[in-house]
Amino acid sequence: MANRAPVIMTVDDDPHMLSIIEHHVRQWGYRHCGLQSSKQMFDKLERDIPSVILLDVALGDSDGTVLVTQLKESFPSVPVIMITANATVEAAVKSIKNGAYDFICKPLDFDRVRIEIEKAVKHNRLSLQVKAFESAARRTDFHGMIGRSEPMRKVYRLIETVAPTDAAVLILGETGTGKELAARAIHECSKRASGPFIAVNAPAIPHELIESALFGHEKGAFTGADRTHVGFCEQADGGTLFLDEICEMDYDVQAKLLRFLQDHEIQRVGAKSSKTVNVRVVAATNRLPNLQIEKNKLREDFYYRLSVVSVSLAPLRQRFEDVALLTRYFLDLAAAKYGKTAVSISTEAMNLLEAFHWPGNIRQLENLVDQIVITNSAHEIAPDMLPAEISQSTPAKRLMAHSADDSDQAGLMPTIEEMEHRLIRQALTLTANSVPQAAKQLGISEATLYRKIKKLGLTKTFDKPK
Amino acid sequence: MENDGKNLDSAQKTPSPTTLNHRQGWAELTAEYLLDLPDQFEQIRRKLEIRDYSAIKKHAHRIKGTAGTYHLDDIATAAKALEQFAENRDRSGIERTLTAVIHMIKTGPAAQNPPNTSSADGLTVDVPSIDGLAEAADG
Repeated sequence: MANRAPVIMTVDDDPHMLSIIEHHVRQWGYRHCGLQSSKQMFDKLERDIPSVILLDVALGDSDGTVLVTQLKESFPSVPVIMITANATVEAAVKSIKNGAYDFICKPLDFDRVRIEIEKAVKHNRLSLQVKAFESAARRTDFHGMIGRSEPMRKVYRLIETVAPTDAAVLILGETGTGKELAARAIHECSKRASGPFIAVNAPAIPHELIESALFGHEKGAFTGADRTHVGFCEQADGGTLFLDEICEMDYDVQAKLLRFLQDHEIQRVGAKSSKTVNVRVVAATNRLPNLQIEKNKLREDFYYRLSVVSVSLAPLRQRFEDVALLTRYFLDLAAAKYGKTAVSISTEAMNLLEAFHWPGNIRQLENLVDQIVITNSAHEIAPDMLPAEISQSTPAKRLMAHSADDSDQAGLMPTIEEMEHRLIRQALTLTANSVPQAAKQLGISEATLYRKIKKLGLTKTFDKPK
Repeated sequence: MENDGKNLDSAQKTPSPTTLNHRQGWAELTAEYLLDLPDQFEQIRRKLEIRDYSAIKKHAHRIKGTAGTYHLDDIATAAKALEQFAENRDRSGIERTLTAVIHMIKTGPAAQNPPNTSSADGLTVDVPSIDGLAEAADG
């Protein structure tokens, strides 16, 4: 297993000083890299970046207090601890001003050096995490949402159109498709962006508390109400209220919310008067609303009030071209979260991920990536690191898995042609574009497969062997 | 029964293998450094011959930091004196300090604070004390 212990780089022109520092640093569980000149240091930094640099102020060939400026410009995440045998206030001030993390005097007190290194390693880890999160945030395609497939582009366009209005929006999509992200995107694109965004998962709130949670209560309104509580609807005043899983809400709660949607008035439990609030409501469900209305789980009037505009989020299996993008994003995020170095993924493993049907959608992919990054120390994800349900999944199994999907889910049912297109593409991916093998997997003749490839326009992504 | 606390003390303070390795490693590194030190002071002597006080100062500064880190306090004090004499371009101060420090290294750690005279090899040489030299350098 690769040693992932942080690397401490020491730059000091005395080899005996390097030896004694290395002796201690290794004892503390770090890796060490000792260098005797600034040239050696910069050469090494072109290939490997350490967690912390211990830099002698009086290097034979250069002034450490000047070098620290260059280091901070080129490697801002790496803390530089200056070490010197000339402990003057001026040198310390100059070093810190130039960007040094700390300043330690010779003779070295190794108890202090250890504490400073521990602090600096933590600082470095945090800096890298912040950097990774920032870079991940920059890489999202639309207000935190990721995806460049046509279904996602349509969603972005729709959000941009509807967000500036105050119309209620109903977001439909299977579990894990990013409904809350879409709701946030609507909020961020609206004129309410500077106001609050309040997300409410009503089914998670106990029945007896729901009214008070949504509309608030006055002090003394009921036993245990020892202070006034501002409800979610009032907290969202000037902003957006996101109601998730509306089909799981009690019928009577739906009725109360319907009244709120009609007159925008709230009355705290125990209050004598009502109050008008300015709230835009965005709701979401992973169920098919019409079916839920038939089952008396969703009030028809509530549904029509909420669904002035509907935004449908496609399940991940209908936008396989986004899987690679999402996987790389989650890999970077997981590496930052768990303090690991950058992790990549092999082409074979990515092919398997792209071909999987992802019943849990993006959330399932994110959890899988987290799990792989936590449990493996390799720098590249290989097919054997994937769970069997993914690595051993065949197009036929996937088709069955998809057919077995809950028909009550909001994912759009694909057409026969779409299913055929997807199956053939998956079979080709899994067989490395071998038509004979893919045909065998699909249970059709090679000639039929060639004909279908041509008919479905798969020739763009598939090079027919000569 | 009289308990001098020795057994109990040693049982409580038995160093772990890691600590033993650490101490052994430190001792080995110190021995290596002590072996190399005469050569380092010899380099200073050569710089003195060409009156390169700047190089002497740099070299002495380096020894000061490293010797102190190895807990060789007398060597570090001598190096500090050398650095100061070099700053003042005091040739005789440097010579006297070099003589004292080389003598100190040759006669071993037990003699790190040597007497003012030595009769090694049948010769009597005046060897100034390190503390006295450090005071002179500061003065």
